[in-house]
Amino acid sequence: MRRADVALAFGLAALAVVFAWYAQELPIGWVHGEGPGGGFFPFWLSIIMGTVAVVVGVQEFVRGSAPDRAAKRFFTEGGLKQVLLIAIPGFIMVALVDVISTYLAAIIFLLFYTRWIGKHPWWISLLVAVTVPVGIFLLFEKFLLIPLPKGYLDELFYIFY
Amino acid sequence: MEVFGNLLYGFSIAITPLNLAMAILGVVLGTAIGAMPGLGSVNGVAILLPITFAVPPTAGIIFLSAIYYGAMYGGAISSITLNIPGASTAVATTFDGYPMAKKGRAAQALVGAAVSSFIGGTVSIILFTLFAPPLAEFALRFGPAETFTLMLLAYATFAGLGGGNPLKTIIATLIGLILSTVGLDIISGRPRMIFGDIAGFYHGVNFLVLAIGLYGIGEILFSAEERLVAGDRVAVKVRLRDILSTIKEMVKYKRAFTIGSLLGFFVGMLPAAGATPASFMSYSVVKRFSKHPEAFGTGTIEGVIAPETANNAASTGAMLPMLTLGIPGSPTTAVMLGALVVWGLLPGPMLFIEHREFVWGLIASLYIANVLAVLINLFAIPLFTMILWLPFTILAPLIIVVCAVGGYAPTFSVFDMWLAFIFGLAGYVFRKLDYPLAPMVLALVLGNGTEVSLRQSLIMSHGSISIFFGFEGGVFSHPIAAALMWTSVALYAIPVVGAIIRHFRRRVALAKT
Repeated sequence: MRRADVALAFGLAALAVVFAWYAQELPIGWVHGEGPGGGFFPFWLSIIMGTVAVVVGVQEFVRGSAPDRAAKRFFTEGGLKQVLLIAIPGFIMVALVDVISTYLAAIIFLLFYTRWIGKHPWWISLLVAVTVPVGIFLLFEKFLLIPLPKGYLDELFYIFY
Repeated sequence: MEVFGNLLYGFSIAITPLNLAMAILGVVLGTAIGAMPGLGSVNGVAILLPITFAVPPTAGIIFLSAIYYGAMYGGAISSITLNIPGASTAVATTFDGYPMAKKGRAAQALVGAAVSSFIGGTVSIILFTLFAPPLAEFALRFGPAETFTLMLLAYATFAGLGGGNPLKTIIATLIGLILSTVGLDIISGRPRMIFGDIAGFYHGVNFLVLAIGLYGIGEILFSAEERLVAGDRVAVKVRLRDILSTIKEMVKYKRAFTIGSLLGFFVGMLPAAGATPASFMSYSVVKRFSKHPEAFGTGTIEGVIAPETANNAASTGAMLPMLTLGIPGSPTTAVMLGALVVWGLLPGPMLFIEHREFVWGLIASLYIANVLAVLINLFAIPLFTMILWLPFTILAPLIIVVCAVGGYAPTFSVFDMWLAFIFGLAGYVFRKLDYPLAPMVLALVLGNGTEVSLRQSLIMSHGSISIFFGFEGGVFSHPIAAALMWTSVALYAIPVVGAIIRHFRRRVALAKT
């Protein structure tokens, strides 16, 4: 836990430096006749953020040596696996959205998770994997009139309109 | 009695078929989401927000506040029957709710929770109706200096009252504020913070992308790891006889209802507080003043009344500053405030003048939603307990898909879908390491207003920060800004002073030994 705490704090400090770097592309001081420049607000916030993050990092480093805190692990037993099992397929789904359409990507993701991770019977997996995308299609394309990305399969969806 | 006229006008809007339908749908969905372990009102509002794009803003806000209400009712269901809080707002309900269920009084506990929620909500709406117009009128006089110091105060309450490490709270707030500056500079119109030249950042970071990421995807990742340990499942059957006998039993706990309602309303108004701390405070205060404090924790209905009255009262209380000042009183109202912006409304006191139908339609619909919620809850509790059978391995992928689509909907950008997932991972890590998420969402929602009011104030004062302490051109002309500023300073000082006192106490204790 201590290592994670310290790493995140210094990571955030580094992020603040990146923020500050991009913020100063616009004037960070007083612009004559205009008041504070466009970079003023993000730049000084980033400076404060960086400073506070370093303080937290040092704080955690000192405090983390207390036995109760040091013994605590970041991931619970088998927790990392559970998280990755949903995060990685999720990311793959998003990557597929622009290729094989939101709907097909969602069907594959839902089938994979309910069947192989959830170990549900086929009929339940298929039921979920079909009804959810159909529901989303009706809600977004028909009701909200928001077309979702369909990648290379755009033309295949013409028949549904 | 202008209020009554306005309220009647509000009812005439709230009972139109579309608005009524949205209220019913919202209450049902909200109760279902509230009943699901781990998901609460803020998750429900964030995940279902895209639905409101199809309806006018008034119907939209009625839908969202109905979800908010429903979730407060629903949270009690899994607290009582499974000993798993349906949402953080219902944690205190497990203390006596589950013991009651174990004793075979699950029906009484559920009816008690629903009736308490109704009373807390209704008292709070009446207070809301009376307080809102004068507060909005007062806020109409706010200039940039007052607006900026008010927002600073909102951020300060998180550091001063939020608990946890105040420095982490400050970092979370700053991240939200910095994210709000991504895109075009509102004053000069030039692009900034686009990290080189990443096209997806030109339209800024949409608050919904952050909210869905943190409260949708992040929440699922968090619950995927935390295996919630359920108590023995308790079967429930609620008969009309149970409802009547429970109500009869509850009449003698007037004090618990009064404490819960008032405490909930006023705690709910504070930006950092909201329904969760309100329910805990109410539980301990009611216990202290109870005739039978020893019964608490063993399954007394008073221990269900206290938190359930307070969490509903707080959810209405949280809407008061959101609507009148444009400062949300809870994470859920922060998301609702962001929704207002998406719908093209400017949150704040001007709503009461420019969008009367919106404000009074919402207020009237709160009365209606509360009645709907208690009826739906009393007669459909067994139905909602069935939702608890939905396994995580079906619920989780379903929510992930809905979140991905929800991240795309506000901006039509696959880039934002990615961003929502990245925020989800970040939110998961932040939660594990005790960085609060609510100030981040609040800061992203309020960021633009904060920056504009800061820059306008500084232009007025020719670059001097003395304007925030009330002085303009050497004259003390902004007393409200000064009061808000000093309160913020004091709130930021609370944790520092606390740390110093603890330090000296420890030294005194060491010297004695």
